[in-house]
Amino acid sequence: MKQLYIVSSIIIASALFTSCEKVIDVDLNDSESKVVIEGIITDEAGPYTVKITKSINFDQSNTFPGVSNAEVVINDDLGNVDTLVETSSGIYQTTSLVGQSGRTYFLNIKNADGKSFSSSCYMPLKVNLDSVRVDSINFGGSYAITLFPQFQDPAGIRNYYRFKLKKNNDPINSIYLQDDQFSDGLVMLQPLIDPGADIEYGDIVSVEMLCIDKPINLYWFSLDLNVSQDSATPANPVSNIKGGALGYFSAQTRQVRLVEINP
Amino acid sequence: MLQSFCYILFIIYGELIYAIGFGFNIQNRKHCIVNIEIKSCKLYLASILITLVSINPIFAQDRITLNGIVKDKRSGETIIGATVVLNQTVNIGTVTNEYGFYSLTVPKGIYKMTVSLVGYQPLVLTKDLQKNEVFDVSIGEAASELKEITIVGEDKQDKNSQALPGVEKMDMKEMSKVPVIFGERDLLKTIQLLPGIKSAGEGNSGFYVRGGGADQNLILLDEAPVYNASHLLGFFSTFNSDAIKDVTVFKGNMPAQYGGRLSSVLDIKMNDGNDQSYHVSGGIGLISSKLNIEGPIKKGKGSFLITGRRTYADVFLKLSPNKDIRENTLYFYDLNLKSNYTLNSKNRLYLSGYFGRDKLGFGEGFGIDWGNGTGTLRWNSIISNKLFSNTSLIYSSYSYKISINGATSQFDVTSKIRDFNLKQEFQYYVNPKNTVRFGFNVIHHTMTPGQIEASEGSAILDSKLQERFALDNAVYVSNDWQASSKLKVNYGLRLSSFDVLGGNDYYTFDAEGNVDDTLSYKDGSIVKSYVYLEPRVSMSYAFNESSSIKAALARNVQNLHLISNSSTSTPTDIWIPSSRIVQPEISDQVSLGYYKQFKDKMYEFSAEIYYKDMQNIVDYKDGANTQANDLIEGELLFGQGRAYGLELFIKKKLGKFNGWIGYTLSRSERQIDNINNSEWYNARQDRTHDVSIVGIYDLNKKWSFSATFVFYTGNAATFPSGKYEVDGNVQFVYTERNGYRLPAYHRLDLGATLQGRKTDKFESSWNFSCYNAYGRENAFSIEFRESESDPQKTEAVQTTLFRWVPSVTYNFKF
Repeated sequence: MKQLYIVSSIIIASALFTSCEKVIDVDLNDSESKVVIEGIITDEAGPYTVKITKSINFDQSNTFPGVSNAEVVINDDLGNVDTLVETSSGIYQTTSLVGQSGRTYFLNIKNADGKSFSSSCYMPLKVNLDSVRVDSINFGGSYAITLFPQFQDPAGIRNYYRFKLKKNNDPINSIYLQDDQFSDGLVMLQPLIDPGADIEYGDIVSVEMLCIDKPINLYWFSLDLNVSQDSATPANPVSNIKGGALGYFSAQTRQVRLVEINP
Repeated sequence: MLQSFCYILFIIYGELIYAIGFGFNIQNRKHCIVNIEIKSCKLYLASILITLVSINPIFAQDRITLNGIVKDKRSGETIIGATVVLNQTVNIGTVTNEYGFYSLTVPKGIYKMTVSLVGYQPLVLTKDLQKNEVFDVSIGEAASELKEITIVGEDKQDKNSQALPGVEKMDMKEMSKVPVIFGERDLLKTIQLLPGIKSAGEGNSGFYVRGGGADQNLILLDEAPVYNASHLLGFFSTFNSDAIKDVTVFKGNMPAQYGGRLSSVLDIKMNDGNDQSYHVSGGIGLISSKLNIEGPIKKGKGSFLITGRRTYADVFLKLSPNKDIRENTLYFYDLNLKSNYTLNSKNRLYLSGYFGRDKLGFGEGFGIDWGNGTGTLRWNSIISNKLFSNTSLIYSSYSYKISINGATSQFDVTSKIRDFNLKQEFQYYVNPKNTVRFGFNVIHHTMTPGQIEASEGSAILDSKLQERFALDNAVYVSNDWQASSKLKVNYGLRLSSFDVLGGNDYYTFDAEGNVDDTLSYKDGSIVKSYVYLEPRVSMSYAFNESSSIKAALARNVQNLHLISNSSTSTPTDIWIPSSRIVQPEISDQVSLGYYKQFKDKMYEFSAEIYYKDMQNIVDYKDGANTQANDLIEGELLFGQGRAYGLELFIKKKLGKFNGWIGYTLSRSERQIDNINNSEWYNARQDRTHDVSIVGIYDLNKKWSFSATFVFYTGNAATFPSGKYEVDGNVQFVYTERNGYRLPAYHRLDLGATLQGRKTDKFESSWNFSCYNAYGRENAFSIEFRESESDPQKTEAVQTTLFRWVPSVTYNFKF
């Protein structure tokens, strides 16, 4: 809703007024390099990956150094323990763990750049993606082809969903989040709005639906506040990792549909 | 300490005490009716009063009282702030109140009476005063050639050197010459050219006063609070200048009759309407047009005023070859209505209203509209020649509605704040040295933060966020005390009590911000009460006719808080009341000033310093969800703030060339646990330097030219200090809150007015202006993103909204 409003005000402002953009030089401070952890467990077959990298200064090229030789362990609430193996610099993979919805997973990392981190995450119950509708929405005179995932929200529990789109195998960067705050127990059919995605007839769009836990929803929500750069006070997203790392540890269910965009 | 200081002031002046006692007698009776919760503070006050009331004032027997109303001869509009002076051997004077009323009590005798106001031909006559007398006065505008002489010849008791600190008045005529964007005269934009009052930036009609937030300004239109003063996403303000009579800004040290916001009060009074003859005036501009109709209901007895304005940007959309653009809507309108009627020589009724709405829509699918509505019914009553009463019933609301009419869902989201407000004020003209105001104010707030109504079959449910109810009460007393010919003091005390009312659920939160407990309160029960004493003192001491020093201290308490976590003000920002969790925001401000006139009052200069301490300032947790969130209170953080600065102002008041230079050097900082590692950081509105220069040159009777130049340090902003990758995308690392700044902002605007033929029957003028005349690319925002030329790199991109905005407006009046 808010996104819709922002999108519309930007369109109006730019249509009516002579706004212009230019690249400027901003003298940014260097920051101490921080550990970045991205750990994902799904209900699909493993192995699952925990990626440990480091942040770099703003003016450097986008090469993010991996953190090697960390001890990475994941266990679940059934007592299974899996010590991850580093397959390449900063990439750690599980050996035996089987992700299952309804389970809680615990991540423990030691000796990552000399520091320790921990996290836990619950993998929510899977909600089946029934279908994806395609429609075009009018944004101030230009139509944008928009996808509407359709699924039955389970009543009585708060559910959080995240969607990821790929257009002809190229990821669309928008962070799409939905929840059932105002639609508990209904058939969900909400648009994934991004007029900049430029989806055209003939494109093949893959729709990835993730059922996520509340802290992970907060992570993506707060990250999106920065990405959409509307926030008066951008800040690092609220992470579910303890110990001061950037990033997240998410246990999530995953399903993918391919949608051919036809007129 | 502040409070005891105020009490001491109360005690030292005998005659005033009588007035307070009197005031509170009336108060107590009203108190029963409206059931104000004053609690222990009441006892405290009452015990002091009882001790004080026993001291009886001495009244000389051979004194008489002269009272009346001062009006404009041509339009019959009552005149605010006219000086009424009786002279025998010394001057005894007063100024008319907001309804043109004056009252002077003097010994019997023959006096020279002078009624004057800048821009008016002073009225001088001899009065033999042997008994009480009612004397209404009409004064006429000075012919334009005479204006300068009138000002120079102004009475010796100069208002300016006596004016209280931190108060700015805007002259509506002067304002009409200052160039503004789109040629639409805008009082909110023009007051931002005064020191200490700063623009919130382009595309934003919000403003910051002395380092406070945009929600800390109380904007009153005929006493009704206006909750969102911006149109068209902030490019216009809601005030149509044609309907406005008087604008006063109090920069933190407001008199006791005002309360409810920390930083300032912007008190706007609408015209009453001409009660002598019918007039139509209007203006046609590139973006908007307006029309003003006024005239007598019964000549000399009552009048009406209707002022309307509408933008027609959407008309241009209709010209578009693209059908879908044609189907978009984008406009706003305002309507100001006022009428008044004099029932008899002692009683007068006023009814005024404002209604404004913005509409923005994309074809059939999406629409949002928002706006304010206010209504004020007032009853002026001259109870005795010394006692003036005003009773106001005020309605005020702000609402927005988003309509979604999508393929899969049709629903409306609405949000509203609505007030009912009863205000009673007495002004007691004890003697020429003391004018006491006292009264009370009861406001009932209803806040509906969000409500969804969905059509059948929509993929969304009807729902409603918790409504909030509150009772906002205050009693106050203040005295305007002319202690000597050199010392003037306004001191007062406001007792505010805010009751959060039940009827809904309230939540408590754990440290993580998760709901701990849900507490249900019955309808009408009191969830929480906050009672505060707010002392207000301001004074000015004149060394001589041309120079004076001023000082003020004030405490303000704010119980309504605007929730907005976006970088510009949006119509969907919501107000929440204080509650169990949200404490009232409190500010204490001290200020000290020096004022001087020189070169035969051709120039005036003022310097003021201030320091403001703020408590319980609201901020947001990282990642706070401020939209449609029932648990909003769990997303808030509270802390302290401090703001201090120096304001310099020099103005050339007379001559063909006039104008001013304002300069502010200031800081505004916040300290909130868990933000910026709990260390002090710059508030967004922290601006080191802020300069505005206004020049107006009257070439001849036909042409006048004007220019304004503004320069200010860019707003404090949060920029990244590093980057990393998650989910295949580059994200930024933030290390400190508001640690960077946007580039400095500067801009020159030019304006010219061509006066057409002017007869008694008809006058017209053309107004030309160019906003941002040298096309400075000012930063509206700075965004960081992947470089287009080298995806391996990240770059900063600045967005600029306006370069060279020319406009033409035609104004007429007959």
